Amino acid sequence: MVAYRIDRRSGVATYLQIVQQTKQALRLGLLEPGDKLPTAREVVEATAINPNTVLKAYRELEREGLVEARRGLGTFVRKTLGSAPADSPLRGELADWAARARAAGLERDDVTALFTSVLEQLYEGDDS
Amino acid sequence: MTSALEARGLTKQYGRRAAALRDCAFRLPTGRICALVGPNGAGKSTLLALAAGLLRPTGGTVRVLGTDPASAREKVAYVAQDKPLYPQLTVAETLRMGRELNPGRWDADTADRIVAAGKLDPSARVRTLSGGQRTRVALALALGKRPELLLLDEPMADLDPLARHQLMGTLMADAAERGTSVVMSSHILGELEGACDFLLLVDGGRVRLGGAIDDILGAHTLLTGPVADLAPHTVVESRVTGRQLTALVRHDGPVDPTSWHTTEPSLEELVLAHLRSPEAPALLTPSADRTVGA
Amino acid sequence: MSLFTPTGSRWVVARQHRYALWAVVGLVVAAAAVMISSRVWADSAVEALRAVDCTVSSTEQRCFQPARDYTDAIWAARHLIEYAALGMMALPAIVGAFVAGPLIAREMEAGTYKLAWTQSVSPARWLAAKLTVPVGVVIMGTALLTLIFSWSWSTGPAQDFPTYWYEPTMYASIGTVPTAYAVMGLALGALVGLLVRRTVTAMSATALIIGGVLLAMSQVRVHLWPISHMTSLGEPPTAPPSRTWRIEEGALTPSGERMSLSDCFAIPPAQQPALCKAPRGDVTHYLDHHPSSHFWPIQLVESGIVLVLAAAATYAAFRVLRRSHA
Repeated sequence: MVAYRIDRRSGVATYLQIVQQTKQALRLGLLEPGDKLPTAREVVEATAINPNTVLKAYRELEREGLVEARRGLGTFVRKTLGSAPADSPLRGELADWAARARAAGLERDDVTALFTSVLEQLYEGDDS
Repeated sequence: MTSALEARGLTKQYGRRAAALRDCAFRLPTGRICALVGPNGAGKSTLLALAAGLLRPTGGTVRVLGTDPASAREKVAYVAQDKPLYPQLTVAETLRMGRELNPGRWDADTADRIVAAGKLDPSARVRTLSGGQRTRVALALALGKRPELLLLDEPMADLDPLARHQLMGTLMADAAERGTSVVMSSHILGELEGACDFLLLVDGGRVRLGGAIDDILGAHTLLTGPVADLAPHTVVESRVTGRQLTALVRHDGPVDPTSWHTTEPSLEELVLAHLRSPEAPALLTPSADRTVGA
Repeated sequence: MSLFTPTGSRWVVARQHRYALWAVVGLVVAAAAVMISSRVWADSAVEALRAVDCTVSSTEQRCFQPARDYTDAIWAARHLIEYAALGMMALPAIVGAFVAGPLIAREMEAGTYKLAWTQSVSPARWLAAKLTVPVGVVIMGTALLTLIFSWSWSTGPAQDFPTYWYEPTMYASIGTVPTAYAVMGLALGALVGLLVRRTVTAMSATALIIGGVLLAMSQVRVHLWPISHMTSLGEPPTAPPSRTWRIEEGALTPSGERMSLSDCFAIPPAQQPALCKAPRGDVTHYLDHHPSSHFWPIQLVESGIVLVLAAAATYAAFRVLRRSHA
């Protein structure tokens, strides 16, 4: 279950904040297929926002194929986001690489800086 | 399709004073949460009291849930600005009154829950309660009636930020669960932004803006650029600083993005611009216009 | 019993004004206690005098003190009855002021009517509840007090120091009239309360109006039933003194004109009418009066008028409500 945090001053439309926070939860594995999203009632009771805003956000998530509304039951997660689950081979390769970096005497910050610079170079121009 | 609230030529005059409401016409679809905003003395309270059947209009009509206010009485809850309650009754007795006066409709659980969330002693007399606590009891009474239309006159004025957030959440939950239509007035827009999806801006006894907030925002553009003729757009407000023009326009067709820097105004900017420019024409979007689709 | 376990609007009215309702019960009990003790006291004084075999007018030395005690006791009882009668006269104004002020105008002044009228109950039903709760209490209370008053009044004092049914205070404390006035006070109070909408102003205005109605009715009361005429030759007509409401008396001139015998005391004697010098046996005396048999007709006519006023005020109150509110 996710709890939404609405920031009125962010300038981002409220329904978009819900969409983004849901996607973030999907990416981090906090939400998995089959999980139920909070009902509109639960969201608005906690956040004091308009119910139609929540419904609009859920419709947007549904349009993107991330969730599905089941009549009378609620809104459920259909698929996850991101393709790096914890047990993928990519993770194993990254772990090997990190071990070699450490053996070569690199500090934690050095490893992070290296990793980030490669990411920036590779993903330049993409929007997340 | 029935409307939650519909006014036609609605006019209310108190004695020989200037009319509090003049020839108002608008429509509020059901299931909306409407912010009724405007400066003090704009006619917000009069409009709500007319809808609640406490006053009779001096001209025109007001229809509530498809009927006249007197016939809709059972389905409408109203909380007046001063949150009137009987001071000599206890909190528990006040809720009992709700049960006695709304036979067949009363939802004791809802009312009890709202009172309990404020940690109110049921045996406390209403006269000993603070303004915020009275607001809570008044809202418990209103929601306990299970209304289809909830009319709230300045509901949040006496509440601290925590209680305000919590009670607004309760209101929104009720609206989400039962599809209640809500009209909330305030002269502070910030109290209502986020919770409301519909806007009625009342100023000087007239409806200046009416419609779904998204539609109203979408109909306006805030632009900055060189001083030039803004036709064919309707200028709500414009200001010249040196060679730069800043204007809020109701656009007619797209605004030329090469000569202007354009943004969508915030609701607050929009409302303030209209209040500063009394001569700007009124706008009712199709969802608020009773002559369209009704 | 629905009166004691009211529901809906009547529950709200009873709950809001429970202290006032208890106060009314207390007041009725207190007034009843005063009147009952007055009667018991008077009876015991009569009994004490009889026990020593004396009368008030006895000239025996041994009877002087018992007669004095008797007189003191009866006078005290009579005073109590007179105070009670004043209270009974004030009752309609008190009821009216309560209805006008705390019951109605305070709701308008404090804005709580907005709460009451936006529940599932219409303003008309609200007003109906506001009136039916007190009307039951008022009718039962005044009827009871009236009965106790009559019982208390019709004893000792009625013999040696009588009070008369036609005295304004007595008349307004017995029969059906007190209840009718109390009901009228209630209805007028409701109307004034809705019109004035200010607690204190509405209370004073109602009390003044009811006082005015009482005063006006006491002026026209004598004409509410045809007056009886009596004539007799030689001596003034005799009628039971404590029972008859004597309205006008005098002599008839030979041409049939009425003349007050007090004109015969005019000075100088030359101005006295000729009739004054006529032989006693030739003078026809007359007396206009209401015999005691007119008590009930007058009471019922007056009650009827007052109740019609009450009905008109009630109708007007509902009209006022409907005119300005949906």
